[in-house]
Amino acid sequence: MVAITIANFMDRPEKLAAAQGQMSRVTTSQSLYEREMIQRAQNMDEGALAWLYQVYYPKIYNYALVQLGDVAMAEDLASSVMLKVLESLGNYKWRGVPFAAWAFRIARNQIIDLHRRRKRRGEVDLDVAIATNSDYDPQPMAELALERSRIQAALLTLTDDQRQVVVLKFIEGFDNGSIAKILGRSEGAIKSLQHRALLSLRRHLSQDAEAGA
Amino acid sequence: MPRVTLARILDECLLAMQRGESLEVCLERYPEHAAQLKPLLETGHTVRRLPAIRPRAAAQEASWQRFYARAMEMRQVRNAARIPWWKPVSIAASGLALFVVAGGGIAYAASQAGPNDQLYSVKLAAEEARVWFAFSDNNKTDVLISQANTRVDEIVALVDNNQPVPEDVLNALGNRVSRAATIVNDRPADDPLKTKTADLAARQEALLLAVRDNVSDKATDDYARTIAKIHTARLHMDGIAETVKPADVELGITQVSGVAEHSTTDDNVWTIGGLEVQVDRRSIGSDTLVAGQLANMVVARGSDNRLRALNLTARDPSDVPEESSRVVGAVQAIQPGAVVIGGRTIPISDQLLRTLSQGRRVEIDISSQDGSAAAIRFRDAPDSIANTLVIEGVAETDLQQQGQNATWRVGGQNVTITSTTLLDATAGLLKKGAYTRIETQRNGSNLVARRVTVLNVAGAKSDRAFITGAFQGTINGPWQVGGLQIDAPAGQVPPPTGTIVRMEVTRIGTRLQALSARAILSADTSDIITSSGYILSIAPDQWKVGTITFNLKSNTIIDGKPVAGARAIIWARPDDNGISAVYIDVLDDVAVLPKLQRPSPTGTTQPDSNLTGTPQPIGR
Repeated sequence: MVAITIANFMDRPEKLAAAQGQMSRVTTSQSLYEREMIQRAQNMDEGALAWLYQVYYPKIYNYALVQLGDVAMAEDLASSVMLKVLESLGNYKWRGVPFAAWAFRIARNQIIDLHRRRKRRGEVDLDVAIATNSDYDPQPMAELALERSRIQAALLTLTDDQRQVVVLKFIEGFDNGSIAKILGRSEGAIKSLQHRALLSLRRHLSQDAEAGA
Repeated sequence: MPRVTLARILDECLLAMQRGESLEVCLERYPEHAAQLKPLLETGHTVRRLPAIRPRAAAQEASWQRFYARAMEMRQVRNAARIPWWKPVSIAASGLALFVVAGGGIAYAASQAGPNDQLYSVKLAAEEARVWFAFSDNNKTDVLISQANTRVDEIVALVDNNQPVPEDVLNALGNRVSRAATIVNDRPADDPLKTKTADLAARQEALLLAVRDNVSDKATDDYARTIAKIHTARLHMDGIAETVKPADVELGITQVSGVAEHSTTDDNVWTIGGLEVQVDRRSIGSDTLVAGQLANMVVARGSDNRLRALNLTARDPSDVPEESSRVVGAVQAIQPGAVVIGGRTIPISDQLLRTLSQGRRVEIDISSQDGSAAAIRFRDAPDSIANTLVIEGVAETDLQQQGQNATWRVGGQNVTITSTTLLDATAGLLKKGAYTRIETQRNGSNLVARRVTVLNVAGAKSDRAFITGAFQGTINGPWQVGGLQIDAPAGQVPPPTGTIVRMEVTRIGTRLQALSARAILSADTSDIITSSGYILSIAPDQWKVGTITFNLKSNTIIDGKPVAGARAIIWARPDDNGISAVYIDVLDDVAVLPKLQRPSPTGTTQPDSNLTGTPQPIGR
């Protein structure tokens, strides 16, 4: 793959769109383009930082929203994760860990921290609150489909690891290798988690459908 | 079968489906597990096709501000740490150097860069980053519009400084306008942002059309592409799913006005001033065009040599506004909502005002609507009257297209018609035999037409012409006037250099022989304004022409017959009593208002030999 430089695509929207399209699916194989942009971002290049933010903020937000079920909390978390990514950027090294996996690992750790803090403060567990309230609509935006609410509620019945696998694979588009690196598990474990997660999801979605019938 | 095996098969099928394989094909591969696999694969597919939820623009923007501020802090800290502590004397210099290396200096320098500077591409890149961080469609469109306006300012500055317009600024302009248009295309027609974007695109297309002659040679393809792109964006915003291709505008742009007649052979072809023009859905404003109307068209010549109307306005001849003027002069002052030229304060829109500057010589069209006159458009004018040469005579050829320009031989002179030439065929056809007034500017050995006006006069002689220009001196006897060598009338004393003279000439072989000559303006033309319009009233000491009332003095020179309703050009000077006419050239023999006369089939007219007025002796 030929590296695309900022100067090359800045005034050619079709190139920009293609470059962003490349980033829409995160894989273990890093494009030279992404590598170049990350290196520039590490040097605090404004254009590269802008690119980094543009690509990752929406992904992190979506990842958080699916798991937290609350727009404001997802926004806060995405903002916090992006700051952490920025501050840790200098520590990131190309050692077989894709940048996306590295960034999502930060996001996952922050979500775990958030849950711990809430439990310490004695707040109602988010999973329970959402799962027991069938009328809960965490996303007021128009494009939120009913199906999304159902799936989101079903996701919250999974174990944390199962939910991570489903979200990272089916919503964020990671492959097994990247998910394994984010969760610190083997690829074989990811396949098993995926299997169990889909079984459990299917069961809850079926029950939900029967209850609604 | 152990669970781990089914998990592997499930994973394999999920991957295959992600690559496009159907559920059925996957199940056929593992019929013994089909019953278990099917619901799981369907569930995975259901989750996968959930649409991603876009973050709220406001939250994303606020978060970006924090992210960016933190990045700048980190950059400062990093830069500070790099300053060599062991070399305190050079700390200041080093800090500056590091700032530059880190990009701050470059970013600042780039932000000041113009289109012909090396850092201009960096400036465009930095602007692109701004577009990324306008997260809502409204903000994104606003940013693109703002950047397009910056491109316009840059183009205006280039033209002001007589510099070529390079391809990158053109590309960037077209790029931003078309992207803004794409965002608002599907909005209702009265959506404010759509209206704003459409207005912007219309003004920018007009600007591009006006600067055609300033486009550098290597940027002509980009120019055509940009015009095509902006015009197409305008069509799409109007809900017209048509496209103008660069090839459609490849050979240049012309502006023509005249009576529109429908072609008898092709529904999409009209003749205007004798020129055949394709008028179709891509011609903005074409939906109400009716035969016999007075149309004003911006037409493009395509690579197939056909003329196509891009924009047009049309009105019935009886609706032509009487109170309209064109004023040429230097901008004396700029006030809120108004510009002062020739001592007159002319209301003008903010959009037009932002591209004007004090001292710039411009040609402004003023129109009176609802009782108040206001500027409706302008373009740059020659630096001084002395740089203009006016030729009045009979056209000896039809327009001859040559690449992007055309040539026309009028009054014995070959004149180049460019994309910025205004062709006024209101009173006749642009063809051989037409009696025509052409305002030209000399460009090397070429006479480049700024305005062509077909006149309505009787009895023109093909071997006679009138030449009006600055007297430049004598060369071994003949006078040099506006770059032409003319044999002076016998015994005529040469005027002071710089005097504007008007000469009736005839051709003897290759020589021009003046039959008469007179001075009409002294050499000092700095405060002279030129105005044109319809003569609305004539009194012994006061004429109203268009929107302006002129005082006449005893030494005011008048050429032509004073006829109310005819067109006139006045050179005037502001004084304590208003504006005093120095020279009046009545263009038509007969009134062309309220109802315009239709041109004769041949366009031939009778000679304008009956000059009146108060002749002024040469060398006064």
